[in-house]
Amino acid sequence: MLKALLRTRAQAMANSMFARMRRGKASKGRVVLFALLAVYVVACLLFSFGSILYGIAQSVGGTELQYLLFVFAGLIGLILSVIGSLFTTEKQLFDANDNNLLLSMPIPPWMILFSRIGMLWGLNALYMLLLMIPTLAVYLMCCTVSASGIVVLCLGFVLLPTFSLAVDCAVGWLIAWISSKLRVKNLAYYIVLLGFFAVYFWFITRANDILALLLQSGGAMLDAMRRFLPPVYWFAMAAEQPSPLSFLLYLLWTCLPMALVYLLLSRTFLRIVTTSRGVKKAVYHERALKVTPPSRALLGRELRRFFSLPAYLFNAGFGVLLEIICAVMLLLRGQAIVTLLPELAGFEELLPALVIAAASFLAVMTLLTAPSISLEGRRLWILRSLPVESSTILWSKVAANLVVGLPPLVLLSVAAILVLPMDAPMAFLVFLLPQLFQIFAAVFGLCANLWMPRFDWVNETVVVKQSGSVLLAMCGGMALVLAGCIAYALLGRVFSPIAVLSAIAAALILIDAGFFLYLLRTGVKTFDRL
Amino acid sequence: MLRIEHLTKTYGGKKAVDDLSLHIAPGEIYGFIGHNGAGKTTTIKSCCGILQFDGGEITVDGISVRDNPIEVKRRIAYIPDNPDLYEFLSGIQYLNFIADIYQVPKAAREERIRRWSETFGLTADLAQPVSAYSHGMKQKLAVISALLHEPKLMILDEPFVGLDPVASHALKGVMRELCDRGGAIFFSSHVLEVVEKLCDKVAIIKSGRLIASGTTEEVRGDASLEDVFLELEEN
Repeated sequence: MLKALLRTRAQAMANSMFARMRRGKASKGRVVLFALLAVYVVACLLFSFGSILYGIAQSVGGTELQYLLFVFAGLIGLILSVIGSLFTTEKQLFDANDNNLLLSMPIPPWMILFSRIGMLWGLNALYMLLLMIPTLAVYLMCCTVSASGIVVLCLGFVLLPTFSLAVDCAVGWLIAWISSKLRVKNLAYYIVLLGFFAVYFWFITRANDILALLLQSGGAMLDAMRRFLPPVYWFAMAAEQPSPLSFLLYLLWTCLPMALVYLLLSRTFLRIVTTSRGVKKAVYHERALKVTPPSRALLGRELRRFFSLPAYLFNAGFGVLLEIICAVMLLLRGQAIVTLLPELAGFEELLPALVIAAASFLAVMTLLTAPSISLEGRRLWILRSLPVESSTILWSKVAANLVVGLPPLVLLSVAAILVLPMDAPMAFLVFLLPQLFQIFAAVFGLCANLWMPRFDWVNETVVVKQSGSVLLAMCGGMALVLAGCIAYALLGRVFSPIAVLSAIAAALILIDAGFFLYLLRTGVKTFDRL
Repeated sequence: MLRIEHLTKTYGGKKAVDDLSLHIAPGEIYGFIGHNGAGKTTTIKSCCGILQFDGGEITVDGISVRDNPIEVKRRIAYIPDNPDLYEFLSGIQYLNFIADIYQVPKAAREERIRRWSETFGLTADLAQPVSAYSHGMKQKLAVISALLHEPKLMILDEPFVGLDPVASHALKGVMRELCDRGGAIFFSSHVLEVVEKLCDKVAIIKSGRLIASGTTEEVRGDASLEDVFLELEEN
């Protein structure tokens, strides 16, 4: 029975990722494209984590502080897997659609819970793999290597998901409990996720400072780690000084929290999943209704959906958050960069281009359109039955992306123009180019979703985080920004920065116009056939 | 009102609807019955402009669904068998959204929302998010949203599933009232007793083909509609 449940969970997970391929609906070309995109994304993540760890290993590799490499690896892995699977954990444990069906069958509740936790552990382990590979590589390249160290490191990474899953379960329970008390049900998600992201980015941006502090204070920091984050401490100890005791302690610290969480959940699982978590009923008072034209009504609908789905908000709108943070940082700390400029030869000329590149990378992360058609799901019939042109529907999706994405970009561009030294033509390009990239992201994202729609989802998180259209749009946007950077680097040797950036802007306008025309002609027909 | 001529729709190699023709005149309630997978929903969705069909023609008041779908959709209302609605909106927000799309004037939409919400007993729940609605409540909301723009033709796919007796009775009254005003209703149902009592005309579809059509009395003859249906299905 347990095997059947676990098999069903694994099938559901595989189906959510590869449904179209399994049903033979995806052409070979699409399968290859999807595989290449997936490889690209994974490679980027491995490279970025590897770079951070390599930087750390350069300082501590081969020294008595080598364990700090494993401390950082463990911490990053923990935070990544906790954030990465938090939504899925909460949905699977507390909001699963098949609870009623399974509970009506002769299956003990603890077995249902165990099968869900088993699948979630697998998901956490996948995230942990993204850390394990670069950690092993850096360990082999830069550290004093021992065979037992390699074995313990691998085993350590296999066990760490158990602890991260315990954290996910606990936080997921907290979110579910808070949501049941709040009228704005998703507020708990937003608060918790903002908190986690704040911690994550504080940690990533301060990695060097933290490392320096650890190198200076060494033993004191280690004591603090042992007290406040024992799993990470014992992971580092077990990897650095492999001994049965340190590994046993690591095993206890990773498995014990999960065992406790599991015991608690298994005793309360039935009550949690069968108790209605309704809030106080909203009382209807008849009020004058606001009348808006159909196009604005559609735009309003898109924006309401965006702000009501936490996974959609954070995945598609994460760039917006970073843009606002960068704008504020520029306004607060920008003068510090300016005072450094005379010391950095040639940097003053490069700075506006760097700002454009950074803002453009953030712009192409704001991808509301990429999952927007898929998110219609089983509700597509509403749009298809209404007397509204398909072009108006598609335009409302693009408009929603621009309404969300453009204002923070304007803020960032204006902050850069105010703080950094540049002439008027350059200031205009600093303002214009990120906006053009944002328009590209919006239009190309919608095209990608028209090429790769998915309507058979049960959970919106799958569409927002794992769909081919989101992957294609993200990679397409990044590739275009990268192409712009390469063009600037090559042409900048011959032509002036203004001339090169103007040419890039002109090319972008043509690309944006091309995709926009495609949407209005072929895109509309494709949408009608869905 | 609704004219379907030689409608054909193929999925892969299989004909879901094969050369189907029928005509619904103003003032008629037309029942559409058939076994599971017979082609009822495909026919209905083709009439609403949701599905693109492969052959034939469908017109509403002489306007082609294929050539001028927007104009057709202004005249009709569609309610599916399983009304998945926007769960991120409240009931009143959903109704206002639909009214915006159909450009229903302010005073008219407020009056109709008030009237139909009271008729179907949904007024107290209009401020609730649709995610908190039961299946029956969603069905009621879908019915109310379909009535806001006073359609001439209502196309319903199993409309009585999930409705409580009061709401079912109210819906039947609405259907009759719409037809008395010159409109028409085209609906599918598995509840043959309701079809028998309510419908002026009936069509029976089997494996994509129309096997019987006409007034309810003609189709039924001396037997019950259920007996006729079962006999036709067996042969």
